[in-house]
Amino acid sequence: MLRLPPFEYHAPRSIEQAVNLYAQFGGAAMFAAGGTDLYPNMKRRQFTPQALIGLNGIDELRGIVQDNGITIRAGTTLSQVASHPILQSQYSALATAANLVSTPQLRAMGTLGGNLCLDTRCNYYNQEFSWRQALGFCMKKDGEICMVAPGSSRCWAVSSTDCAPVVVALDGRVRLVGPRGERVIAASDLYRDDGILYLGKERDELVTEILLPPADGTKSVYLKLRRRDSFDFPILGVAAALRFASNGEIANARIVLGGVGSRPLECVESARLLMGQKLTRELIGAAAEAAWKPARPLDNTDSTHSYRKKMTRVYVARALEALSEK
Amino acid sequence: MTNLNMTVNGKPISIEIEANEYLAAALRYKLGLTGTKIGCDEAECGACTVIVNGTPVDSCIYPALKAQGAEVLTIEGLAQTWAATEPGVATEPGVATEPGVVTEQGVVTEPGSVTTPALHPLQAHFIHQGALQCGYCTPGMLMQSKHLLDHNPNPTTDEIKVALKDTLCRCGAYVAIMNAIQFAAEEMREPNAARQTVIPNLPATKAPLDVIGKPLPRPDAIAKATGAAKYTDDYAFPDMLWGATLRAKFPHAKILKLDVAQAQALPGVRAVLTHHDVPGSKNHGLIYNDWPVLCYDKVRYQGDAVAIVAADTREIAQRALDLIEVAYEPLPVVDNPVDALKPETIIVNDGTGHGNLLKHIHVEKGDIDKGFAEADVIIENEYHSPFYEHAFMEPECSIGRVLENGRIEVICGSQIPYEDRRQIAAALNMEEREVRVRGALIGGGFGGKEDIAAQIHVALLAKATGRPVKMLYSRHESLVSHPKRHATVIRVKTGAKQDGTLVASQATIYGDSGAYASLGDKVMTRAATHAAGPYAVPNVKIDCYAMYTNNPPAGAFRGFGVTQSAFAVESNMDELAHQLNMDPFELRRMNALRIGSTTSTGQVVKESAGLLECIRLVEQEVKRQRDSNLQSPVSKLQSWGFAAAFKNTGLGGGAPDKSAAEVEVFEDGTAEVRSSAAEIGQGLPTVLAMITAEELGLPYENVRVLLSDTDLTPDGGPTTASRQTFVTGNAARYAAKGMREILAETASEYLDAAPAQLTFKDGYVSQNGHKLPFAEIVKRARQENRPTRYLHEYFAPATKPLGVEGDMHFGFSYAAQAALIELDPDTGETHVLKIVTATDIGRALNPLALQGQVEGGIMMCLGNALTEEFIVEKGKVWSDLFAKYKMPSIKHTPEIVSFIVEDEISAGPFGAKGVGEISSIPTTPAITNAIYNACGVRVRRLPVDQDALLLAMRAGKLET
Ligand SMILES: Cc1cc2nc3c(=O)[nH]c(=O)nc-3n(C[C@H](O)[C@H](O)[C@H](O)COP(=O)(O)OP(=O)(O)OC[C@H]3O[C@@H](n4cnc5c(N)ncnc54)[C@H](O)[C@@H]3O)c2cc1C
Ligand code: SF4
Ligand code: FES
Ligand code: FES
Repeated sequence: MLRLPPFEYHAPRSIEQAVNLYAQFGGAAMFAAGGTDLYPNMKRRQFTPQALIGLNGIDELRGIVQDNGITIRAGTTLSQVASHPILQSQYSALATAANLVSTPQLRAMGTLGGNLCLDTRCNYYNQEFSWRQALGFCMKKDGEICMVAPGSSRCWAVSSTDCAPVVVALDGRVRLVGPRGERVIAASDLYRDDGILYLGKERDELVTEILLPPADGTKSVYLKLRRRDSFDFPILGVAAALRFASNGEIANARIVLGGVGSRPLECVESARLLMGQKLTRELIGAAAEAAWKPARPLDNTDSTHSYRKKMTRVYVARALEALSEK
Repeated sequence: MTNLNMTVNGKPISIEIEANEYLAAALRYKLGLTGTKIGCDEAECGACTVIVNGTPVDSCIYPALKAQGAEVLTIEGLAQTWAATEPGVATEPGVATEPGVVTEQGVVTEPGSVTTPALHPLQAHFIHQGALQCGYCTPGMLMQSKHLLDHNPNPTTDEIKVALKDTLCRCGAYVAIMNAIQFAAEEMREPNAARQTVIPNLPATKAPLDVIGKPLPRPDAIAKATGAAKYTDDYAFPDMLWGATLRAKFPHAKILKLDVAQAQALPGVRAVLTHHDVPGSKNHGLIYNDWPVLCYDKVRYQGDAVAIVAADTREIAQRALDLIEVAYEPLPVVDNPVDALKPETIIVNDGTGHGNLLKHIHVEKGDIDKGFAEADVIIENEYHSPFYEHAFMEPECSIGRVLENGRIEVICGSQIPYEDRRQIAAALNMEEREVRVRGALIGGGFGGKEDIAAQIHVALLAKATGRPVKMLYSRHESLVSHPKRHATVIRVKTGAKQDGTLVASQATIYGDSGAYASLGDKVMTRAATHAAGPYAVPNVKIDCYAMYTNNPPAGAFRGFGVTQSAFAVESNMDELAHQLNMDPFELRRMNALRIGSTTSTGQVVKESAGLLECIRLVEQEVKRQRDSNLQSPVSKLQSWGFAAAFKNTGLGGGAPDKSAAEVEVFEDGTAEVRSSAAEIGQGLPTVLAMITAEELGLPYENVRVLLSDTDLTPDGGPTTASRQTFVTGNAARYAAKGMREILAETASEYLDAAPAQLTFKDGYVSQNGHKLPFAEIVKRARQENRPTRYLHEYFAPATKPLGVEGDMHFGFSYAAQAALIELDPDTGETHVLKIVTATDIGRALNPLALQGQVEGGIMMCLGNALTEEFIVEKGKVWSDLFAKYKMPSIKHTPEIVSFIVEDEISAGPFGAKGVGEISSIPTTPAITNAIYNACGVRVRRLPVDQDALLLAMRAGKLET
């Protein structure tokens, strides 16, 4: 049976306390929100932090507030996100994505903040300790080389969060609080194209809020590809958000892919094709074709990379079709 | 240590706990609430679901301290949540209160001595619908279902599927689970109405006798539904140590050095053992003694055991493993059976003295060349199937301890207790009588718990330390170490006349048996003898090579080799039908085995051959459905596919197939039936209790069952080859009959009638209106000094080895199945919408248990066809986490229309033959044939690869 490695557990009551505690341990601690990614990984020794700073007891991290747009505090659980009426109606891609994450048991524990900060994944990395030890460790944890691309100087582990592509597609921003104060960055800047340093924030910064702009008629969808409709992480996620002008032309378009690179991948060319146009069958085909090209999945998740790439086109087309029917 | 205060099932609890202890472990090992099960330990199965403050969580990854101040509800508290609102809900009639499991002291609790709590409606309906089989997933399933009903008092089946899609049941009881939840919901919406136990909607079967033929719930059902059922890890002993195993680092390597000094020096370590410490036989094995207890010269697969440790805690045991120094010299890895046979290939295991060849199996009938010369059409193809994993929900666990008199006791969930005892005794250099093997309940086996796992290791460690030692495998360890379903390469050539008559059938089969023999030789023999399908073919030639490689060993797995060959044969048959432009039902009907036909091994079928009837029923239903289906608009590609199958019952092949059972009667009017035969979820205790009750004329709930204790129960033989109902069922039947004859002699004096004229019924013995209670007869028999127990050793009809004239098997079960699938032409995804199945099992002793076996078998092979693959590359296991082995969930459950054919077999108990495997065998080819009908591509490789299918469809290719 598997054991969690030993750690100290701290349960701060405020954001400030949490950030201070983190600073005290100087990199030897980790934040734990729902723990649904963290604890299984700790059991397999991907992480062995000296201390965990539990975020569950921090009231100011919970809740969904309607303001100019909408603000979701980082500690809100995925089941709350999935069932929130405003999110369901105006930001439906986010409610959908949250509802497709992992399992009902895990969504009740897992948080939106944790989902956005989810560790990147790879077939060589998401293994039990003894398995990795026997094969030889890779550079993401304890080793020197990359097993997927042995000549590579970087890690290609895959961004596998369902909500990140949606938050990026919806033009979201995140509030970060750290020992040097507070800042708000675009959600797309929360990610870096690197399997190891996949987050564009400092380690000691806490994600406290996810800020979404007014929906303003933007329609959005999220589609997820995986082998089984249970447990499995996305091997492709497509988030698409379109705003139509009153004449039916597309006034704003964003398509973001998850599961195909180390960060959510924006389909800039597809969006450019859509802008100012009416959504026709031909246009959908062209936009899907353009989305498919930049996707460069590697063979380090379930299913083959060629299949995931092919499905990018199918799923983007399906996403746009769904939006045209909405 | 921190103080944790929480409320568990309404009771305030305060315990000291480490920050890294998680809730499941705290509940199970600190509070003794062992009803909460751990299946994967990594949030990948849902077995550990408990409700914290109204929300279901996976307690295996929930730090216990997070429950500080919380209200926790576990399976043990489920009933009271209902009783609290609804006092006085009656206990369940018709179900004994205690399962046939040994308690701590090795005694069986008398019925009635445990008061049954009022059950929650979910528990009651799970029991009556047959929604629990092995019971291991049941607690988690019930907690998740409770949460669903708390929020949705009237869920649709789709809503149930969404709520339960991440709570796995490998027994595949999903249809029954959905029904049970809906009946429970109904009851909960009308809390004042009395409980109606609804009989499930089961296929028609023969009129029942007093007990036989009735859809009775399992005797252990209440225990399983309330969390009282005990599996091995639910037992604990004072001073118990934790064991751990050092596994091989390489799939094939010479051991150059093995140094345990540092590990031994670690405080808290009580023993570190290597091959030097195995006093007796250095190898074990079911048929061939070729599997090292602890490796000595080399390691042959990744799961090989190199050293074992016993320590005060699990952490220390784990750390000790890291301190063991092993130096290896890696050897070339043999990773497939075809290479293994080449003369230049390095020898992995010379267990049989023929190098890597474990066994060459040859089946020949008629003249194959002449057969093909006569054929008008010949179809020849090569099929590939990968390794598959049983994925039983309960990982292996064993406890070893030294008894007062120096004997060794091992508690484990074993499919073959007497075989375990033999192998333990041999390794420890002890007499068999000095070893006692006690079976706990088993959380699923499916063939994967026939081999030794940790049984010998815990015995060695217990002997070395003098203390009880428990070894509980992690899911990872379970996946890498126990035997799998054989990966195969099968080349089949089928020849037929223009009218469809089969004239020749040839097959070459390579079976990857992995590093050790396990039951590989027998499994591949079955693959070979069934490789012409359930058809009468005059000319047959089959060559099968079971090979040693550096992959995980392959052994028994529901279907026993026939799953693989049926996929190949039935695909060829379907292709033949298309080539001949024949109806696929008709082609099978023309050639089907029937009374008077001769099988490939030269056996003449003399009785109980219901295949034609199975085909007829399925055809009729499919044609009826197809007509109504055609009217509905079809967006995606929908199609039906068909396949037929047969499977032997019993060991056959000349192996003496025997089982013993003992029946004892008591003065309180009850009886107990005992046999060392394993219950792995298939429902054996139900069948034994029913047979005994029928023969003694007792109510079902007056019969207890005691299984799997080598001290207390006679040898029932292996739970394999769908044999237990037949062989142990017969042993119980004759033992009960023998007992009845003795009682009849006593009764005849009091009732003044000849013993043969007495009627045993409903707990009375009667004749002409005079009757005496059964209990009274037992009392008087005892006063007369007559024996009150009766042992019967049953020998199944003799069989002949392969290649010798005569019957290789005493019976076969048959099945026909049709699958309706929907194929997405853009993604290549296949969904199974409907399965129509007909199964000939001789006689339905218990239609409820039978339905569970049929539906479970179908679910398992739906995974076999579409989603599952145990991935091994160069001897390295990739599918080493539960979530990486993609077994189907409740969401995959198709609509299942089931027919039962009861073509009785004279020697079977009440005419019954094997049930456990047959239903799963035709599922895979029925699905792949449906895929062909939908898109014109033949699947030659399992599981169906969506990408390959798409590529083939787009390129206009005919196969993948
Ligand atoms: C079987 C299984 C299946 C899963 N399937 C999916 C899936 O399909 N899709 C998917 O997206 N995820 C999946 N997950 C992962 C996980 O359950 C979810 O991503 C979840 O939302 C993570 O949230 P959490 O609150 O539990 O995060 P945690 O596990 O607590 O944390 C995750 C990471 O984020 C950091 N973190 C958490 N909160 C903050 C914060 N506020 N500020 C800064 N850092 C923070 C933690 O330090 C940690 O590194 C799965 C997990 C399991 C075990
Ligand atoms: S991409 Fe390479 S470095 Fe990154 S986790 Fe996978 S194997 Fe390791
Ligand atoms: S989910 Fe907890 S044991 Fe599997
Ligand atoms: S009853 Fe569900 S796993 Fe056995």
